[in-house]
Amino acid sequence: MITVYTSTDCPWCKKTKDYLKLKQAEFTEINVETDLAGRSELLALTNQLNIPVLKINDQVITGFDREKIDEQLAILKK
Amino acid sequence: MGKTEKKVDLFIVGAGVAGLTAGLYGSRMKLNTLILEDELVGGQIKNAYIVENFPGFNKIKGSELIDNLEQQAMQAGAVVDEFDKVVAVTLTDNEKIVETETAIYRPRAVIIASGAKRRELPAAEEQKFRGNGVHYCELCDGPLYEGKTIAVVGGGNAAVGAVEFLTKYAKKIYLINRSAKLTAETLRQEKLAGYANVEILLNSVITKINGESVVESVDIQSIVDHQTRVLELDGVFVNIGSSPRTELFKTSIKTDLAGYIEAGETCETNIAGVYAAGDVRTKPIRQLTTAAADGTVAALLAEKYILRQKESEKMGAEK
Repeated sequence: MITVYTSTDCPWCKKTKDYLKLKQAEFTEINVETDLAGRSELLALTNQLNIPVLKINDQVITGFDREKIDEQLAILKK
Repeated sequence: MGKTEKKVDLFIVGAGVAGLTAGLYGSRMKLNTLILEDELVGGQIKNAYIVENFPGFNKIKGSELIDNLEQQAMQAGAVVDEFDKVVAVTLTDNEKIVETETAIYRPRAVIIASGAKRRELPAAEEQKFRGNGVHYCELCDGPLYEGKTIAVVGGGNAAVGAVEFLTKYAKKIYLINRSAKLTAETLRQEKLAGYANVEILLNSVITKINGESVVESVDIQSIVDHQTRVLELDGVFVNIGSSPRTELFKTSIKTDLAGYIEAGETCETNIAGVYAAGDVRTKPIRQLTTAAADGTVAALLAEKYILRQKESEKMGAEK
């Protein structure tokens, strides 16, 4: 289960989603600009006001970090 | 397992306006063209909410302008790869090797259009609060400051554009600029006066960021009388210019003291077949339009260089 926290015009969020699509990884997107419950969830998760944020395998990745995403995707596929 | 060796005619480092334009022209000249970008396709302009100074468009989102340009380059035949990274280069008059994380390329010509990265806020607490009160992407993190008080640091078009975008969310915005004047276009400055919740603080710098785990205030000092006062706010968005992304190329390519690649209007560097286009090049004006012009010139001259190379190989083979 992968969750991506995004905002509407965020270019790094788009890049993150494009990468997950390229890797054929299914994910749920929560737009914290419009989803206030999702925003509270993000703050509880990271205590930061910084996106994109990914939750994969209960690991939290802040920003687009290809290396960390690849590591978690590899674990997910096992 | 070793890296795959790949051949391309034209290798373009960077997919900003200069790189994408070079890709468009290179592909239209039927060159096998690869554009590689390890950050955002579109470069810094992808972060611009609205662009009002690109000819042919009254107003267009930075992301939309870039999407159009990327599509145009790809339709012409260019390959855009935004998920690989250049790790080493060998660039000489006779040999060009570009090693990425996944492959080794031997292009006939190289265009360096790697653009520039945003300068970091020169405050000791920047690292502590980065991503948690100190931000470099207003389009990403701006919406999380709904109803809050924030500051934008800088005085150019990017800073003023950030203020315009953030007025949709923030209750109050301070625009903090080191100089006595903003350098943004006059039209954009005039527009700022229309926002009741924007206050411009000139001749001012942030000297300290205060807070436990989140930003609670900043110390702001006047560079005129050196008086310091505390400004209560929740976040700071930084737009204080940029520096060229040329670290990888400095051993082969001549750069100036600031790191910009030395190249004139022809975009030719000190190495035959290697060109510099856009914000990485030494030049007096850095705009979207001048980046597009550089991309055009670099690609067309690279094509001529490649044709000469092919012709000389053909003559050599016939002998």
